[in-house]
Amino acid sequence: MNAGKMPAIPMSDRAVQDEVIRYLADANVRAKGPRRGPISVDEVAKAAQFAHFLARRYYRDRLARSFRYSHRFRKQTGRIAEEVVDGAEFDRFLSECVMGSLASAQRVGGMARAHLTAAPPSAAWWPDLLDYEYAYFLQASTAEREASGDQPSPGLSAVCRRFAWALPEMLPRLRAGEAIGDDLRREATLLFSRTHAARIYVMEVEPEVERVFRAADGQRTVDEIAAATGIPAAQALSMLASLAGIGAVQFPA
Amino acid sequence: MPSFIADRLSVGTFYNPHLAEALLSEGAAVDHLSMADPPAGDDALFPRIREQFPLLLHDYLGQLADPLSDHALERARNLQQLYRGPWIAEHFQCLHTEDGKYTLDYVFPPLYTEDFLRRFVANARRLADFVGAPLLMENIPGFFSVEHAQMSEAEFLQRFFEETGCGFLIDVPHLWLAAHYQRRNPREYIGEFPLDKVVEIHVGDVEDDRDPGGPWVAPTRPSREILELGVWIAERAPRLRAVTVDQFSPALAADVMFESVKMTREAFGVSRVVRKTA
Repeated sequence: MNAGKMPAIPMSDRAVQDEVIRYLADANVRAKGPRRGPISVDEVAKAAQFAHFLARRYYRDRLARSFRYSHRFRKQTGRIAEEVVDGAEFDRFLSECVMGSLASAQRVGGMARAHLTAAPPSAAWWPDLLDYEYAYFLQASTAEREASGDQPSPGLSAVCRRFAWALPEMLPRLRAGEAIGDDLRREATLLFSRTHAARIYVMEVEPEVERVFRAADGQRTVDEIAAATGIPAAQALSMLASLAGIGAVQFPA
Repeated sequence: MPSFIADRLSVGTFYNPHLAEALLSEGAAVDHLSMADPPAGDDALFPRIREQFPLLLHDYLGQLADPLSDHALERARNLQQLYRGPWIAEHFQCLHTEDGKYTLDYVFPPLYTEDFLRRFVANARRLADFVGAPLLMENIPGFFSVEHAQMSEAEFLQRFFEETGCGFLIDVPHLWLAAHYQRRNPREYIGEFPLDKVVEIHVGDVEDDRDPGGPWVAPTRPSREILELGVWIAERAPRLRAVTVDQFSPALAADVMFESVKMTREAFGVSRVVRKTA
């Protein structure tokens, strides 16, 4: 028997289709070249063009949906978030982009935040608004799924952030075109998450919930989370279950 | 909820929630609305839209390259119970990997092979049976070719429709693009498809896009060429019941939407009628 030569197992058509999808979605796969893949050398350039089209469309759509409040100030700023997909930095990103990954979302979200920070309106709450929209964008554009570990861990794109302004009250005022006054200067802690079914949640959380979320680091058991937060184990478990329901926490499979 | 027009072609467009008020005030301009997304929880005008317009389910129900989950089937049935259109629609697409790890988040055709034909036939039958409504399937253009196809797109669709009895939702810009990138004459290319199965036509247009380096689908007014191709298809489609302007975008303006429907009506020789409301 020749141990060096294993007979090739023919791929199913479905597996071939998956190769094509991976080729389009993941620049790292494209960087390895087509070799024995299903896309011929003659078609590689066209496939790469299409991959760029898909990525640009994907992030433009999600930037528009996520940075919709800052969009209302385009006359003052002269800028909108989705413009970044037509810039040189995004062109460079296309050769590294893994569509739907957390890393790609962070990078594109960072581009948008920097773009809008460069020409801010004269409003003290503007940085908070951009941070809110950035965190929302992470949820909207992270389709990547992470295998759950041995202990409760945070959802891949889940973010818990403290704001100096009361975003839950500010956003309806922005929608209504009303002025934002100092009455909205109050600290608010918001938890952003996304479920496997792509449903996005943003909710204001109490300090106990924030503590449980931060303690669920993938290392601690439920009892250890309870001990670390000073919350009774049964209550901590109940909180973790609620957080899992909104995709903020993952339980071991 | 009004009935779908039965005695002539119904000419409609997609439901863009930001244009709900305009649709309600100019209701007679549009015969039906295709629903690409479920109504949002805060869409206060949707109940009135539902009362005034026949609705067609054109959501993403799932990719029929793979069996639909029980959840996806239930969701499809619930949406159809809400809209109660004469049919539901899906696409010939396979856009995410079987393990769910990668998705293109955009319509993308399957490999045209025997295996995929079997998959689409089985999964389409299950969806139509579960929902209890006729299923139309829409063609999707490819931009590049893959060395694995065993038949042409036209043959794949022909055999699918013969085996399932499903109707054909023919998207004219999609076919125009497929013909364009294969350097084919659009009319010759379209003539290879089973036009006798066509129940609904999508019209729209294409615009140059930097990444494909040529035309691609755009939510703009239908062009004269696309409308003429649509009329040419209609003349060969005895089962045709509806023409829908394929414009679904938060950037769409009301005047563009209404003008597009008007152009489509004129091209297909369908006059505007005053809707009778209860």
